[in-house]
Amino acid sequence: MKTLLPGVTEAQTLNDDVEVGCDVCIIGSGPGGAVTAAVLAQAGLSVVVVEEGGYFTKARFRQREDEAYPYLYQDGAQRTTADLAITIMQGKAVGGGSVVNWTTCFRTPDDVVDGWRAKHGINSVDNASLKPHFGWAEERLSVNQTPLELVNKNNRTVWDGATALRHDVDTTHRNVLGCAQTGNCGHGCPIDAKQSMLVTCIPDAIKAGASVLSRCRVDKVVYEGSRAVAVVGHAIDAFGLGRTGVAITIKPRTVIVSAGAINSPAILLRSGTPNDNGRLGKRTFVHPVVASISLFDKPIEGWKGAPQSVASHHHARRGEEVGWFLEAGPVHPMLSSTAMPGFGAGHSGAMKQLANVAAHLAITIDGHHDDVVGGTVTVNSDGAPVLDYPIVERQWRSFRDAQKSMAQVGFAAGAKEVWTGHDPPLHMTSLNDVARVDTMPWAPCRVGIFSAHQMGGCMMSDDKKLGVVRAEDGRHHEVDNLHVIDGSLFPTSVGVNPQMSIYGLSHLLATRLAHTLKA
Amino acid sequence: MQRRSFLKVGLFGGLLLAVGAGLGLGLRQGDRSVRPTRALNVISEAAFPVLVAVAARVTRGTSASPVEIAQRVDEALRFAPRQSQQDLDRVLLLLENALGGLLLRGQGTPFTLLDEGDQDAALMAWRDSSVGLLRGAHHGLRKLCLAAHYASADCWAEVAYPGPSLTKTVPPPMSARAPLAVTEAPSAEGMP
Repeated sequence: MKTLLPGVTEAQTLNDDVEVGCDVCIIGSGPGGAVTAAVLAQAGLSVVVVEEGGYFTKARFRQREDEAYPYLYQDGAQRTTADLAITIMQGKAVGGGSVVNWTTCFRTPDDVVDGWRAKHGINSVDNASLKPHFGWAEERLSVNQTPLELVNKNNRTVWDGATALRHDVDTTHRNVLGCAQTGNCGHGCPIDAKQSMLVTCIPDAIKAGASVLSRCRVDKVVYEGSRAVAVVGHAIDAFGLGRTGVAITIKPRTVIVSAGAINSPAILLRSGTPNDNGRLGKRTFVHPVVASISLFDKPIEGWKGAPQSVASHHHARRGEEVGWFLEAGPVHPMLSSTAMPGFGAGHSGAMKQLANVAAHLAITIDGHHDDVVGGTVTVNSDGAPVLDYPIVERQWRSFRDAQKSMAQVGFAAGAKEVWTGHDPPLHMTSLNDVARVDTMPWAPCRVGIFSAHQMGGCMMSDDKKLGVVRAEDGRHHEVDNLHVIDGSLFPTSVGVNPQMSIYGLSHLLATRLAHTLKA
Repeated sequence: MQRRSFLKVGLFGGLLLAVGAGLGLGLRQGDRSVRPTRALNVISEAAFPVLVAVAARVTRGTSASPVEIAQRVDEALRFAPRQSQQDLDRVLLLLENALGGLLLRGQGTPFTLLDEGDQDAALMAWRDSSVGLLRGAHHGLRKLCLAAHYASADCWAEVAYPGPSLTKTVPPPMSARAPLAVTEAPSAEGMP
């Protein structure tokens, strides 16, 4: 049995099989895994983090979509729900989704956490216990509010439209330090201004002695009785495509799964993890997004500047109806081309107007109504995750209402045309056209639906009948030394961009776990 | 549509191929004259000309070369799960299949032999289909072809996109067993 040196070891460079022992093996180096690694390593535990993604650093972040999407996103940015209706953008790298997210930071809303306690059997996490951990994350990640003068024209259309309609709206908080407004948060920050896990908690963990093994794909967690005894995987090549032939075995005292929503339940499912209550993979939430394209008679240049700097939660709380929050999305050519409906001359003609396009996103809040139970993760015969996400009628109504509201915001901001996300789209040229949104088809693969926020699937609950793991420290209800700490814990979607919720909850649970493991 | 439904595209396509052969329709071969310019990774030799024909319709009005788009789609698919790779190949063969065309859109001609207007109509028939799996297949093909063009620098002038704002030193090329991390930060111009 060997140990790994502190630092990042790129598994594709290894020639010999690896078998190492440690106190803690963490599967995944994203917001959950990196925070947990830093906390536990700083507590004096020996920590090995295994990560399927590559160790990409700012030298390889060159503001190019053709380099970013294949290497920094799950499935080369081709992940979808099983019915192909929802495109799922999910990060994959050392640092996980934090490397490619758009830097928007919100604490988990108090009423969301209260709802978890009231409806989902959680009694060991509350707003008061989370508060100091949000404070820690905001300080460590240099979270600060965007001044209005730094808001780009794309986000400014959200501000102007929402303000004209007297909707609640504000500039967002972002985790950046020395941001040069390149607009490339989604492609890996080219100057390390984004305070992602790659430049914060991963280095913190390494400084405290942790080892990170990148390009290591985990096959399974091995159990003996009610204990996890090994994490078994293999090295993959630098491209993330094929096996190199090197086997990797980690034998830790404690296993922590932090591979994020969709991947964490998939790893546990293909490991044959005890699942007596059948909850593993259930209640997977994606904040389904419908988009609105506003065309202006002046340049917007939505590729310039911070991708997201304004948000409106005016419609987030809608009682019996599903709520949404409104933000802008960056307008780079590839991302826009796939969101833009149609093909051929019609599509290329629309793309020629890209500089004058503002992209508005209605991010709908799933998991807060009894019939909106989200999706279910299973694994196919290859062990790869499959997300089945049926969209229920209450959600379709929300998409329709949000599409109308976004059109009103667009026109209020001065747009000359607003297009829905349908294919073919509804082209609206005035407010008089907005009611026609009701006549459009609302069904899978008739309107573009996207997800940049994945949550749930390994739900925490202190009630064994409801949860996969307990809320106190993410410990599995049936396996003594197996924990889950990441966004897959959430019993519902969080109703805000989720990175801060993951940092705060992970720091809380990891701090508690450190006390237990050191005892 | 469930994953299992999408897989039925493959099963359906296979069935059509078998039945169509019996009827003589399946034997009606499409245009196979378009050949790949570099080795294929995922797409079969039989499906490649169909993908080229789809790419030509989807990227019409741009500077894209349909063969190059099809090659890039094939390369992008390396990153997709194996089942998705197989599904996509079957979707292309189904689109080309004469009996499939007859049953799904009333036209028993391989896609690659249709004129441009009929190819557009065939693609739109899938887009507007009452069958969710065909709509999903349409958008899968559409997005892959569009992404292959608009992810590259080829499109920047067409859409007035200025490209990267910083000038950075080109990092060492990636190779399968080499480290990704660049140990010395490359010098860069235009950095703040």
